[in-house]
Amino acid sequence: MLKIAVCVKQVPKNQIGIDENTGNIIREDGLNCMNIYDYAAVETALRIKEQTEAEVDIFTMGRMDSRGVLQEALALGADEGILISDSKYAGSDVLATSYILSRGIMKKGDYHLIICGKQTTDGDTAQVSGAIASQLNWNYLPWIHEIAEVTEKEITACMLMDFEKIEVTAIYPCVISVEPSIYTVRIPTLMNTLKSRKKNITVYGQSELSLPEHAIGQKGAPTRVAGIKNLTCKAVPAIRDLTAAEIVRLICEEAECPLESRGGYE
Amino acid sequence: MNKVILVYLQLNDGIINPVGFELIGKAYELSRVKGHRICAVLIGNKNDTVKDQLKGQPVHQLFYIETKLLYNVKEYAGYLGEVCRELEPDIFLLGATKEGRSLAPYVAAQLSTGLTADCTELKLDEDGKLRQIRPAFGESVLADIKTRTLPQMATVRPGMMERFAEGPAIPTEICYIDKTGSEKETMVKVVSVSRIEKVKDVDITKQDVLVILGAGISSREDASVLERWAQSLSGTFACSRKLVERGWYGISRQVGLSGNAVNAKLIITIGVSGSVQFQAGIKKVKNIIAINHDEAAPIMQIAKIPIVQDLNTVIEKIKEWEDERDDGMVRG
Ligand SMILES: Cc1cc2nc3c(=O)[nH]c(=O)nc-3n(C[C@H](O)[C@H](O)[C@H](O)COP(=O)(O)OP(=O)(O)OC[C@H]3O[C@@H](n4cnc5c(N)ncnc54)[C@H](O)[C@@H]3O)c2cc1C
Repeated sequence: MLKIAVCVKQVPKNQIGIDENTGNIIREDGLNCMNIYDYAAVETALRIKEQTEAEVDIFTMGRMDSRGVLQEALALGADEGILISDSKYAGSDVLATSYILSRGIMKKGDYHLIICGKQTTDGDTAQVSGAIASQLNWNYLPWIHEIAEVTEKEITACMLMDFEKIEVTAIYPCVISVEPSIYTVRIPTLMNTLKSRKKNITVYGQSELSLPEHAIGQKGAPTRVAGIKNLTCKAVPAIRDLTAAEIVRLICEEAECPLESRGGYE
Repeated sequence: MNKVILVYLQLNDGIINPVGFELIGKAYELSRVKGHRICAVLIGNKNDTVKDQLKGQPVHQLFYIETKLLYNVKEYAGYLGEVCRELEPDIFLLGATKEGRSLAPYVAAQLSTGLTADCTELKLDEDGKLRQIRPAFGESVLADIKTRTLPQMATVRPGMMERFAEGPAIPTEICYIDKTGSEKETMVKVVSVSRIEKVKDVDITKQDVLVILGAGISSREDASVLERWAQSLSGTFACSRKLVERGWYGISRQVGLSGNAVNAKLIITIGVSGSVQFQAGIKKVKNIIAINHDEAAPIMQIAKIPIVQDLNTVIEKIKEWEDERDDGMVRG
């Protein structure tokens, strides 16, 4: 049976801001959700599961409260959740994260396929899937926007590159990252939600993974943020007192579209 | 320590991708601080025009990896890793194209080094360390990132760096590395390749001015007034997903996560709330004028000019003007 691992991430639900005075990152309301690009990854795995016999396990690395995104994926139809969490993993960058995730996946089982979303809405690097493939020395198919066929031995899928679409057949094991346009994502059914309550969530920490300390968390992260500069200050005060004519005119000016040649608006 | 800045030149149909020249331009600027040598690496079929394309560029050495393999991340990353181990560059830059952004993390993890995505500026600090500047958190802040391992790797957003303009000509030494034959071993076989056809009726990602219509617009007729108006502003119109769902427009007009990411200089949103998914499509836009009667809508928080107004009054005004103009034309 095909074994599929899907990597998902919990991200702040609303736009993150920056405290102008302290320069600290503020998570406005403390609300979290699953990274929207990851729904496509979960959906892809579930579609494969519907076609062939497959087991779909969801992996996430993050704080203990990331359990919620695993539960959400289980309610959509995934089989098991694995939460990789340890205070020693905090401060990991792409390299350390991909290392920890790949070790966690290896510990859980022999997977044929790892599916990741294209990028996250908070980190926005689109680098973790490729780094995981590299850590495992697996083949890597990025930017997948269509899957033609999945068999027990190989996957045939189409990469959306800069100028061309390249359809390839890759023998397992293999990591793919999927475009959000690949499928329309489902919403959990009541039945699946009820069933998901009985599904298992495994937690891996340092005591299970025993990873070398120099490769994890801040010590394992070769990149460091040296400074942060605010770009957009606070929201601009809204303009309330413009007439429709003034608005139209303002827009013409901003678009550098001379009013005279348009015959005037007033 | 070898003082080398290495840049990756992406080859598409035998042509060096423009971002490659931008990387060379930036590498040249950086090289003047500490006297780095500039080397380049490219992968593809042997092609004699590459030499001409690089004429006059300040590249000391070009590593030309010959292969018949079409884009194959694992193999390509393996070749680049080999070049890096041999050359031990201080800095390795790639374009933040789809090719560069998928190749770079594979190479970086192989070399156990750090990587910064999609940089918009690069500098050397007093210690000769590369400072990698990139927008973060939905482009609301600029993060300044340092890497403590070598090579310091970054992908660079296309269109952000200046090409090399003028300077002393440097003869480029080309070192061919023969990897033909490796295509037999790869576990990834190409089935087919097709150019991405722009079958779209219009490419909204290439427009400078966009009028973006949202669900706040209640009638199809009002929408067509705005469609025409967009044209008179030398732009075109686009929409949020809700209007695609209403069946008013096709996906090629949709802005956002599951639509298109646009690069306009100016967008005017009308009756768009600015959901997270919508915002994913306008990250690169600096000038946003938003018309919405709800001051608290998310789009109003990020707009440069947030205008609180009933959009119907604006549409009325545009209609009036259209009528006047048409009258004028009849009379004239
Ligand atoms: C996986 C996924 C992907 C998605 N991808 C996209 C995507 O790519 N693009 C996208 O756009 N959405 C996408 N969405 C949908 C998104 O969540 C929002 O539903 C959508 O963007 C809302 O569109 P809207 O702003 O036009 O409508 P609404 O959110 O309904 O906003 C309408 C706005 O019009 C204003 N308004 C109403 N009447 C007036 C008036 N008379 N005068 C002035 N203002 C008025 C209201 O105040 C409101 O702010 C996606 C959702 C999911 C789950």
